[in-house]
Amino acid sequence: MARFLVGNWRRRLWRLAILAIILGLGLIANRPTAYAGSYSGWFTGYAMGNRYGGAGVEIRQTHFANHYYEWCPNDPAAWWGWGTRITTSPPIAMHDAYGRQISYSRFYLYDVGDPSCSQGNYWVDIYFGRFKPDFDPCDCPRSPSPGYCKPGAWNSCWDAITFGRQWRSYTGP
Amino acid sequence: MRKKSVLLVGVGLVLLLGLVGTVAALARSNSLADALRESLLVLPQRAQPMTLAEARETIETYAQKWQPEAEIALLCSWDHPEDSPSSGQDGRRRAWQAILLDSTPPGAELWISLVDGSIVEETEQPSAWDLVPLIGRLTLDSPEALTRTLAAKPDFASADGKGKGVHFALEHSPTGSLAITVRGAHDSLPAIVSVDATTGEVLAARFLTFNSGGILYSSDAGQTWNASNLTGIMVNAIAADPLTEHQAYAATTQDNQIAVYQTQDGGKTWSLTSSLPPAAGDWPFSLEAIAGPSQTTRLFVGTASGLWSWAGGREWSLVRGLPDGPKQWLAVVQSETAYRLFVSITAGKHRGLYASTDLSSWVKLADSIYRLSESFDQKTVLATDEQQAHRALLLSIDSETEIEIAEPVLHAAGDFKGAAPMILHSPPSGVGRSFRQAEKWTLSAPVASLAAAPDFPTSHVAIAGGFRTGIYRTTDAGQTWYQVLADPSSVLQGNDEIVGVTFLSPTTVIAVNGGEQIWQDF
Repeated sequence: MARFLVGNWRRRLWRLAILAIILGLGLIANRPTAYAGSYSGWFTGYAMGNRYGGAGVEIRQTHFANHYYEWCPNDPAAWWGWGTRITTSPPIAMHDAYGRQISYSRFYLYDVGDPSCSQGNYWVDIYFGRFKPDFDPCDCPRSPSPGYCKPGAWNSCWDAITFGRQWRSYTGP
Repeated sequence: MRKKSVLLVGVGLVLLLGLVGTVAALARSNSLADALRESLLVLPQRAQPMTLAEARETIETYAQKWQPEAEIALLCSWDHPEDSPSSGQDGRRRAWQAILLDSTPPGAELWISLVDGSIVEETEQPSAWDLVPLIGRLTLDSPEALTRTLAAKPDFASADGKGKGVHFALEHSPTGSLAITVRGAHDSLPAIVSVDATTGEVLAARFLTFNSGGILYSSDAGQTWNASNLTGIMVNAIAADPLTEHQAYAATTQDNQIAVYQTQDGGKTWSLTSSLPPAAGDWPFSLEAIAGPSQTTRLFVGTASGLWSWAGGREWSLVRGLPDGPKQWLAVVQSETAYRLFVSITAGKHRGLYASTDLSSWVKLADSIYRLSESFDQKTVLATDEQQAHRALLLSIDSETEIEIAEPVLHAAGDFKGAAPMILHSPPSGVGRSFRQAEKWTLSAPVASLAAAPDFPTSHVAIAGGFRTGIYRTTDAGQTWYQVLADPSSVLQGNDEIVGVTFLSPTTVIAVNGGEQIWQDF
């Protein structure tokens, strides 16, 4: 860095300008379309259920559901687009197919739910997965039955039930 | 020398701004690496929509830079902030999301966002070991897949809401070959058409709808519950008849129309009364029943298209005088000789709370979005702003009074005038009771609805419909609750979200078990 800035004034100015432009890109990353909003809402959890979420993509861990704009026009989050990313802190723990615990803090919008809008604005339904041991039913209270499941050493439904409902803050669009 | 100094100060200022931006990006990001990525990769771009095959090729190139053995395990388009309902109609999208899979233990997933041809975001996470790499050749690309879709399913349409326009995803077909899923709408609900990426054959066409669900009833004030004959149907709203005990109405979503059912035996059996015209749409937000002139019952259904009214006979009519916007929540107060109907318009430029006593002239009471709850005797309505405490309106037949509530409120039941307790469902605190300025939160289980018995001041009976947690009952006005039904679907299949509860008499009460979302062929 020191070497970068040595030399005559004219050359030093050019180098400073280049550095400033690069760092100035940081400002562009600060655009309003970036993930800058903070929200609070009820978080609930679900597991198993339909293979495809409302976005028409197979639902898996790291996905979440929220309200659908046709059902809950009152909720500003119901208008967020598919693929919208939210970040939660602290992270949310769940188990992979081998039963190992993984904590995720980033979740992507790929499903819809709570058509009666009963859980209030900015509600988030975290998907805990579709793993289950061989002899467990492919079923979880609160999800369509029978659901679509994958073999695993852990039952994802346990994670959803353990999570329950929590009032949380998160960042989003 | 002075000129140089001015230049230096200028450059210094730009440098400072850049640093501020980088620090801001860093504050939002989880790591320095993320901050630099956001700083350096999120650049203003010229719109450059890509087909699915083009996006796949770009991401495959990127994948090799990440891990030599990495494979794409998920690839789908997603909404770009500048997208419109016409986006994707040429088979191209600006924004794509992908997961790259490193199958070498311990295994990792790399989330890629591709916008206008550039990788703009990445998040590395541990693998959940549930993905299969999407390996295989594409004979078809997204434009052809869309052409095949429209030829086979002419009623497939662009979406306008959560998904803007037509989207695409790459997936495995049931036989293991690659398929392109074309994602849009059917009757304004999410729809998918799966096209074999090799043969072009349409493999499946489905839209998201509801099955199961219906109404449970209790003849002992909510202690035990039974299935009614209104089952296998999405019930959106219920309302008790104000003139006749044991009589009630239910608004349902059925065959792309709103149908209204009636019970005369306390919720045990239901029969179809009438259907709203197609112009009303297929989604009833709410239902209200009032005692009209000459002691006849008049029904109201709030929809996105307007407020619809029925006064016997066959025809529903649109209530005039209300501005545009979804009539999402309705409530009524009534006396022996008069009524006052409240309507909450929850989106658009006319959003706010409206009231009328004659259905022809409407008064706007507030600009905020209010949820509406009726007292046990339908003499008052509590209008609450779920986003803010202290902002509630107590509405009666001839007045509206601002009242102070310590917590924001989603649902309320009981007595709102203070002679008996008020039961509240608050977003951060759960369910509790408020009485003589003392609040106590007594039920932490998620709930979706509340109702108090018509004799609440003496019986202290109320019901809380659980959100996937069963049905709860109190006999001491919300001080203690006990679960009376753990699994509503064991009585009547549904999604276990008890989205409505209404008393038809001190002993008769009905509850709605919501419908399950399913993908249905079209």
